[in-house]
Amino acid sequence: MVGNSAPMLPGGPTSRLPMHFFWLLDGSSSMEGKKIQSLNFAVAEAIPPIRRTAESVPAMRLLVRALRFATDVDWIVREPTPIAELQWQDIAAGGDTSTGKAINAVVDELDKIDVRHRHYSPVIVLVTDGRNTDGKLYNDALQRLMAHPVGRKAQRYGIAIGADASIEELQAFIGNDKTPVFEARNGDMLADFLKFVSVSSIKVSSQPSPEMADAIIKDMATEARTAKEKSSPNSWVF
Amino acid sequence: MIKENSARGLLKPGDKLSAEFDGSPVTIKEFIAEGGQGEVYSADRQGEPVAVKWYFKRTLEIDPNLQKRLRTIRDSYLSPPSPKYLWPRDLVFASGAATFGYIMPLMEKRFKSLDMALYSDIPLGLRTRATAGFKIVDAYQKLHAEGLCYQDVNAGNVALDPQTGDVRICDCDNVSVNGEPGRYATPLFIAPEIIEGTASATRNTDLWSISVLLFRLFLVDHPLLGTRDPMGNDRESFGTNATFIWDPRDESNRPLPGEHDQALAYWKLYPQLLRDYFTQAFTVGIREPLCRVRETEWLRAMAQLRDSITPCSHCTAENFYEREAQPCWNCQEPAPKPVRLELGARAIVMAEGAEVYGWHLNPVNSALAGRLIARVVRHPAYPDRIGLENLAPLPWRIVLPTGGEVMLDPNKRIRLEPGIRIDFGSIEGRVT
Repeated sequence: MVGNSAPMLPGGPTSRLPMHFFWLLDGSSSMEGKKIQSLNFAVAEAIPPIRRTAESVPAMRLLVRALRFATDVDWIVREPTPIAELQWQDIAAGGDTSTGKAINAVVDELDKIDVRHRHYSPVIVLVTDGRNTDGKLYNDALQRLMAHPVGRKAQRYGIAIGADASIEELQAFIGNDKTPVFEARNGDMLADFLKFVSVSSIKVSSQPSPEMADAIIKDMATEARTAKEKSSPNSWVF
Repeated sequence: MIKENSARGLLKPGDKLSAEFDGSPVTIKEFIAEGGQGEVYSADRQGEPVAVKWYFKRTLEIDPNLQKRLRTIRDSYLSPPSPKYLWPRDLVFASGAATFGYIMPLMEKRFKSLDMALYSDIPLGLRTRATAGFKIVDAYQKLHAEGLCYQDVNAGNVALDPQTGDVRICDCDNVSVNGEPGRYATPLFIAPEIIEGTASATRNTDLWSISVLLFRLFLVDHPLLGTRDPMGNDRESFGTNATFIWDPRDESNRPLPGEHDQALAYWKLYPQLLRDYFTQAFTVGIREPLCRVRETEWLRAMAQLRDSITPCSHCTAENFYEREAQPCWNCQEPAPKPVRLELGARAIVMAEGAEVYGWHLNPVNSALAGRLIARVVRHPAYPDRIGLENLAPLPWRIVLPTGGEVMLDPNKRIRLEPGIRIDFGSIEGRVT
């Protein structure tokens, strides 16, 4: 090496491959109070472990976006933001549950991904405490997502907050029976699940072989089930 | 609950394990990293710092022969084929635990995984790559010489020190005797015949994976992913019908600009010998395992690479000097013929960092082959002057261009000027 300066080399630094990560967060009126504040806490807490995991995958550049959906969609983090720069501003709750609008908003963003360039499959995590209120629009949006060349290959996850969330709706959003819905009945569970799902999705994407990716998803299913079984109804706040 | 303890992971600081062979206690210190098969921790075994690899349950389910294989490695090979391997020393268990692990030497912090190093903001220098390439191949050669095959050669198992090019090879738990049935390996690195299901892991499939590893070390991009299937979505791209991105007789799979810029930029940089070996590896080598490039050939290419590194006198970019001076790839300035040390038929470019080894002086004597004999250094006060430092145990007799003679003691340096002759004992070198 000539001195300690960075060597001059052709081609520039090796480009990392983007992984587009989306949180779709329910901000409807039923989320007011404990639930939305727990959700805010969960998101902020999840960021450091997600960042650590992303840093351990050298080829990956994790870019996060987040939206709040109520009667309308609000992009909280609109631009694909490198995880190292992500800071969470608390969101408030109020309005309907336009899950369909949220899905459409994400698909609009997926349209912008240049499929000619290599990328990790995107991850979409939907967090809701109820069921959609947009009816036909929701069904159309879900169909649009599942037909989308990038959307149908995305990893999709669902976190249900409380007893009124529709597990069937979330399972249909996930679109396969290997990946479970995570059912959070209190703030602790919500924080754990958000972190666990987000971190695991990065590991699934970065596994060198499909067998290993499947093994992680299987582990996730086990965790979802045991967490539910082990949590005592006394602790259920939501 | 899916609680992460403050130390992360399956084990906690202070957890007590015991080694199987002699029952010695092993105490966990801290979490180091997580890999695809398990987690790695630093630990203490009766005062000695060691590392523990602790498997996930899912790994044991996919690989039921793991324990047996580790015991075979432990019992048959008390020391690794090369000190570069972080060799499993013993299995460790914890009472009541659903899984188990093994202990191995602790890897020093200066090493990073090859994947990490390739994607770092600071690219690896070419001399570092050539040094690392040499040491990697040398380590696998020694493993193969013992009748073993590694089975899972990939960029995640190799660690290197970005400053020196020194290497370590981890995850030795897949090692088995050549020809025994193996498990799957990492798709990007798996030999075409394994992808097609017509063969299992052997020394020759290791050679395939080594060639991919070297290609990634030097060109970063994958040798089989070009315009046809830039993302590697199609398994066919890795099977026996694959096409090398630089196949001289088939341009259909050239690197895609914007996607494979590294492969495009670096290929023309390297000497013909290295490019010829890559071409062999990824043309005939795809379908004919016996025609793959063997370790001795890679070693020859790595050595030639290192010995021909010439920094540009205008912009300092590393170039390679073959038979004649080419314009610098970076600034296009014409390059003067560099100062070289001729040793018989070989010549080493005398650039800062260049090294003379025992095998340069005496290719036949393998005992002294790895011994560092001399290194080129820069004068601390006059940066334009380079000298050769004697790192051998004996002094050299030096004949100056004027005809005068001097003896150069160990650890002393002589200024390198054309016309100097150096008597190394087994051979005389001429500086030209």
